[in-house]
Amino acid sequence: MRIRIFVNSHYICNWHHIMSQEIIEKLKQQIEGYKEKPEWEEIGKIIEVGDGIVKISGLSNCQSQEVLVIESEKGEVRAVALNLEEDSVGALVLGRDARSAREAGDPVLESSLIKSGQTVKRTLRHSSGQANILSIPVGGQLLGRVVDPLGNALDGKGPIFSERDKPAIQFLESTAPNVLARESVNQPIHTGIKAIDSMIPIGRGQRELVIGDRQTGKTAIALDMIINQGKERQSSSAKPPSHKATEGQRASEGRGNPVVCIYVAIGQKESKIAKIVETLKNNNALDYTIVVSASASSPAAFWYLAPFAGCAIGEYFRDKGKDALIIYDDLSKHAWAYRQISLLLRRPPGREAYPGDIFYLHSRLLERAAKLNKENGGGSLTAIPIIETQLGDVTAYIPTNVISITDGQIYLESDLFYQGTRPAVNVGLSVSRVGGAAQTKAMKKVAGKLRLQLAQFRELQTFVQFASDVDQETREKIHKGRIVSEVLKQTDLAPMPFEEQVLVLYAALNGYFDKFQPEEIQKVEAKFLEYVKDLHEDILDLLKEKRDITEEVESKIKSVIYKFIENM
Amino acid sequence: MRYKSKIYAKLLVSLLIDKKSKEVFDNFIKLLERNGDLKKAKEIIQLAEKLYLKKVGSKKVTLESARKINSKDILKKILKEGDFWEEKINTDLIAGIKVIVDGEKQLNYSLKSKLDKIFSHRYE
Repeated sequence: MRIRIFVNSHYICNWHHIMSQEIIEKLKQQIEGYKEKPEWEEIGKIIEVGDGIVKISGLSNCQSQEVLVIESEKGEVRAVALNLEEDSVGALVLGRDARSAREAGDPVLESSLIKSGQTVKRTLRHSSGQANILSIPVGGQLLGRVVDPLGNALDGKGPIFSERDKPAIQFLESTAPNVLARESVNQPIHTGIKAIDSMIPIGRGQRELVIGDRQTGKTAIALDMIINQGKERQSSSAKPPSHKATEGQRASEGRGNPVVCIYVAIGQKESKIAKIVETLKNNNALDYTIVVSASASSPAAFWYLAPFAGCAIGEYFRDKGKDALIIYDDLSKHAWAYRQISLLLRRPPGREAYPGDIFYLHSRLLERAAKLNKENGGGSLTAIPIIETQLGDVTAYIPTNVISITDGQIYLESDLFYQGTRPAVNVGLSVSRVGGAAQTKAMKKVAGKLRLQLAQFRELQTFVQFASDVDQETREKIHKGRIVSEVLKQTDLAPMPFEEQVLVLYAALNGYFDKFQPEEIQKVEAKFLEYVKDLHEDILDLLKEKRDITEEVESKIKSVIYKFIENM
Repeated sequence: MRYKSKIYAKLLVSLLIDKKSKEVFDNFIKLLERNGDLKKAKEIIQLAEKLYLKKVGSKKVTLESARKINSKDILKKILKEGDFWEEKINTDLIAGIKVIVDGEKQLNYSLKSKLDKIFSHRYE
């Protein structure tokens, strides 16, 4: 026993000795290789500190969005210049970089390290000698990771980029692609949600707002969208489209690239973010998703920067010719953070105390979502901003702003949600201004009349509430409306492939489900899909391949539905 | 009417360029007192200092060192006629010197900065 202890301790001592020798050698190399290059640095002095904002005198050549370094007692703290005034610079404190904070090993808030009179330096890029404008390292290695708005890993899986990697550097603020680089939205991005894909179709490169009160299923829609991209990817890789379909046809029908998803969480609880990451992981969606997290406990600077960081990541994939989907959850909190920062920077407040450039803040962010033309790689960035309304008030400042910026909105209503209509999409108030051009032909043919039918049904329903006696025709219309409403109901985390949606909607809208009671519809739908998958999978493959309802396909669909109804 | 610090600073500079006397400065302080702007005095003097140096084409050099050093040789190399200079002891530097010009530019020859550069990665 004693011998073993002796051997162990001897081994540990040896190991320590080797380790310390290694460290000493490394330091020696660094010191020997250190070449002194003293350079004139441009500096300023802090004259005011408070609430994550510093006012600096000097730095007369400083640029907007430039990264500055504050020399605090416990190391360097980074800040970004926002306000360039005649004699001073207003900067937003970003904090120590994750590595130095970890090495320092103390949880002290950065804001308490900064004091008036401390020196602030400009940071120039060593390679170009130009100003170090706020940027984020991006690359394929980010997939499956959770990062903060400065690109530091938050998931405990170690550094994102190895020393050998050469990540691209993407500016957080960059200009949107110009008119010549774009083309109109022409490929669909399927959400897997029947109510959306049929009536409010979204195209790649579109900006579609999801708006609603708290607890109406906004995030659930976003998660379904992300999960559905994985399902589409699987189905397209498992059964590639026939060789007859040309590359152009495939691309125009939305079967080009798999979609990279970016989820930007702004001001959300850490527990909610953890739950979202877990949900994505459980649904095999994390592999193609990047989560940019600025949680409720992070400073307002991070809330403000998170969407821009997410967008910069999305742009990397867009410019590489890939399709990316970015979800900003949510821009109301982003606007709050920007209001806080602007008021602290003493910018004049406007309506609801938001600064004058709040519209430009969101418009320049969302304008970066685009569908590029073939000369520019043909990539796309689809933006799904989320806005949380207060008591259904869509006429507030931020909701109206974002409604006017985006290419349509999905309006979720709490009344519908509590009635059991989930997703609680208000079809009357929801619209997609450009998605129609991207909708698959099959869905367009099936769901063309759906919106009108539902509107008529809602009108009749309100009328019938007051009338006691109703004629047969009206009763039939109401029954059909109820059946269609039931068909559009869907649980969360269960996105439905496009071809299944087409089949179900075809059956419902052409009256094949009319003989059932509305309460039975969910079960009938499940049985119908099970029946089709088990016995007539060819029809699904045909729909997937042709993406259109030709006479041949329609006759097949009809015969399948007849057989199913007969068996029921 | 309230005046901005910059206007006061410009006024002080123009007065001092015309006539450098204690009387001018005393009267300026009295003016600040009368206008209730005495609390701005520090800011005004800082601004005036900058404006004055700009106007006369001189610079203010601050030499920081960890301990008292013989700075004559160094200052001779940096200073021109009409320049102002001051020496400061800053023990945080550990060793070496730091030269600051007009509070806007610095040349850091301190041991602390060298150690910082060795032990931390550079921001790029």
